[in-house]
Amino acid sequence: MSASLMTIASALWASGGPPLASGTAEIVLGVVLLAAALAALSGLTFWSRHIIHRIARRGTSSAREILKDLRDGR
Amino acid sequence: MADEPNVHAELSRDLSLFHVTMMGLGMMIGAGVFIGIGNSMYVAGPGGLLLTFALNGLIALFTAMSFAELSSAIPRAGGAYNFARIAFGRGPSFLAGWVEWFASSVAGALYAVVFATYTLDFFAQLGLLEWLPFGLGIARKLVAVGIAALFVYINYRGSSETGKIGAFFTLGQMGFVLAIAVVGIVTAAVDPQRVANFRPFMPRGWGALLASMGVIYVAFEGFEVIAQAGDETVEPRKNIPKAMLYSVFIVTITYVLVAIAAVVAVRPGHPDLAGAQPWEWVGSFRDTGFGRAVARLMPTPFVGYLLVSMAVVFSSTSALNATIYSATRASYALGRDRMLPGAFSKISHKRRTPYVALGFTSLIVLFCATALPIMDVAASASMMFLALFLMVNLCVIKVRLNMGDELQYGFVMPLFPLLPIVAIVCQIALAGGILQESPVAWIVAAVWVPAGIVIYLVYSRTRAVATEEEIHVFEQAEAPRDSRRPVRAAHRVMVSVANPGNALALVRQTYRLCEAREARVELLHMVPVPSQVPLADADRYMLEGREGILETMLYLAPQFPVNTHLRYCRNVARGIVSAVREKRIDTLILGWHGRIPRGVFRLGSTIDPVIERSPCNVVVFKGCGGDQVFRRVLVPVAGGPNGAYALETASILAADDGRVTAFTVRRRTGDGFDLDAFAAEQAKRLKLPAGRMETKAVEARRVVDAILEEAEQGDYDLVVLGCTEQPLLRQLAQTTVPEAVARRCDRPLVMAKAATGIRSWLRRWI
Repeated sequence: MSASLMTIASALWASGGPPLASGTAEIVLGVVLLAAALAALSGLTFWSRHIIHRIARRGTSSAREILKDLRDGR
Repeated sequence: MADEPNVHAELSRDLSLFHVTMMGLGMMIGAGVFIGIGNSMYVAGPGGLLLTFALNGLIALFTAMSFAELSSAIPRAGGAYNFARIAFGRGPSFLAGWVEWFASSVAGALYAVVFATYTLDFFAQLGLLEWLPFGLGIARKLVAVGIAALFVYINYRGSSETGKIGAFFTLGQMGFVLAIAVVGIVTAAVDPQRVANFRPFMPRGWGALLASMGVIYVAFEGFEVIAQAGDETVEPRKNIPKAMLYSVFIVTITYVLVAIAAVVAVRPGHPDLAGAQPWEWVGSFRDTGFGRAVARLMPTPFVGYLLVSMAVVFSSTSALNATIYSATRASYALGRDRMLPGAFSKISHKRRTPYVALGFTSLIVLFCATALPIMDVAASASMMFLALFLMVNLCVIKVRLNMGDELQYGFVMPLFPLLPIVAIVCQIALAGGILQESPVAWIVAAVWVPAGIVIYLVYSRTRAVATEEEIHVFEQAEAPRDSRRPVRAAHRVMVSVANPGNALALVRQTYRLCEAREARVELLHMVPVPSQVPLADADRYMLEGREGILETMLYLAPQFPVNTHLRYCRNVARGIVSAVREKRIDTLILGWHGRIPRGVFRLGSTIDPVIERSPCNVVVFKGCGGDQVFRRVLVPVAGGPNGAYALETASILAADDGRVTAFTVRRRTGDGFDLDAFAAEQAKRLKLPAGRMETKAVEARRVVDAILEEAEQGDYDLVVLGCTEQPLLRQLAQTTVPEAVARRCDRPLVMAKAATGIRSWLRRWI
């Protein structure tokens, strides 16, 4: 995924002339936004997975107890 | 042994994380992506297309986390309707159910229209529709109505796909979509000139992005259906949240890859473009733009059209089926709780499906499919799902704040309450974006939502059933912990009773088998429930199953100590195998009516998979009822563990003064199998007295005929057969000897299969 984004970004860079020429800033902003969205998607998914596994190991309990355990790193 | 017989009504949990994830993926990769790419390219350009999918995926993930947290704390079928009822009470829950009903119905209409659009476009491209006396627009409407009517009928028959079969369909549609994505990425890598198609990145400005995201949001609906499977899923507090998050993650990555493929599909300067830029050319086709793009990506346009058409047929039909049943369940639940007239919860006696709810759902589907343009159908569906998801994001905040200390959570979302608040703000913004592209969607919402509020105030408010026990009900619906990991008793025998009238005969024979060892007997009766009825509600409506088994239990209780289990399931075979695994059963007893099934089944559509998949000993009785005493028992053997188990079963069932004949058929003299040595070894293992077992071997070319002739002429009371050990592929190609004998033998008959562990299972499959 990141390899294909890099390919696209480098090709856009090569075909688009010097940085911040007409439309280039738009492309840079777009690619950064795209990468940030996908990174946030991946990060939240795997963070949530980690939480689910920790709760499963420890046993289900109330939200307050789970949050306390997560804060304490247990 | 249990002192007091007891009836336990239980739900069959047999869907794993893989199955529920596939369920979500199957719903999400429905049709939105196929019509979305052309429309989004038109509205927002190539960069807007990529951002539309990536940002929508992130917003969908926020909502999926809300669903995941609520489903982990309230793992009962019902979804948004149930969450709203617990969080806010009757009024908002009615509105959630009302919106969910309409949203699913409109999504169903969208899938029907997309199916019609792409299949007709495929034939039109091949020049096969020139004979049509009317325009393509009318033909699309007719095909959409036809396919929608077909799936309404399938839902009425109650034979909709279930989680396990649906998983294979989803893998198929994922395969088609990913194949397109891979070809696109590889093409861009080989021919980097195509990457210039991303320039200009946002030709219509950043404002167009919001409109594109709003209209295409429907491509991200579907993960919420996973919450409906809470009653059928193994470890629901853990697997339901994971499946929701995984399905949104996988779908978003897939959509972004497919969008890249669509942008780079057409080479700049291609003669078909006629001077237009590639994104303009693809966008100009709007709904069918994706198909046109993929056609230029493949070696020949025909391959491209075929690939896209196959992907659409797979995706839209499975999603259409699922949305119709989801919408039906939503309106059925409203009827059940008397928020809509009770007729909505009426169940067909013959098909056991809620036919009134299905009828009204089909009216909405057909109206939207015929009366609205496809873009407005998509926008209306998006609008309704945005409203529904907004309510769920409110629910998660209210439930955590008010009941966070009472409920048992399997997942708590990070960054609470920031994420649900961000999701709510984004959903309001997307709804605003829809207004730019489809004012009709706002009109539809402005009619449907106030209509629901009026109906609630005038009708439902005074009639809805009480809600005090909401939380207690879902706690009861969980499978008891001790049933999942029971304490290991002596030998556990389960008797699966299809017809309560035959229970006595089966239990009597079972107790003969049990006399040989200390055993605990569990009586199991499976009640199949159509997927339109939530399993948790089955107890209320499937009365005949409960009454039948109660009568049987009352009759059997004084005679035999049994524990009785009534289980609701989607598929009887899967339900039985699931019960065997949960209860750690050592021997499963089944009855077989002896009727020869049609089609690919050898003994029956339930009995074949149960024999195949049960991880324990299996004994199947045919015609062994009454007080029959078996003095002469024939056991055809050819070695192997099932033959040995058949001899063991025969020696238990035979009367004290009875004789067991181990019988084998040799095709030629000096055949490899040494019957005498085998019988002697088994007699020693079973500690049989001398003279109780005898052997007999004959030479014949036709093994089945020889066994049947021996059974007839030898005047045997009972024939006991070991099940086949042939590999499954060979079984599909030809009828095996034990099954052929079982089908043709008119004597009382028993088939036996020994539990031989994972090695035997692998050997049979490979």
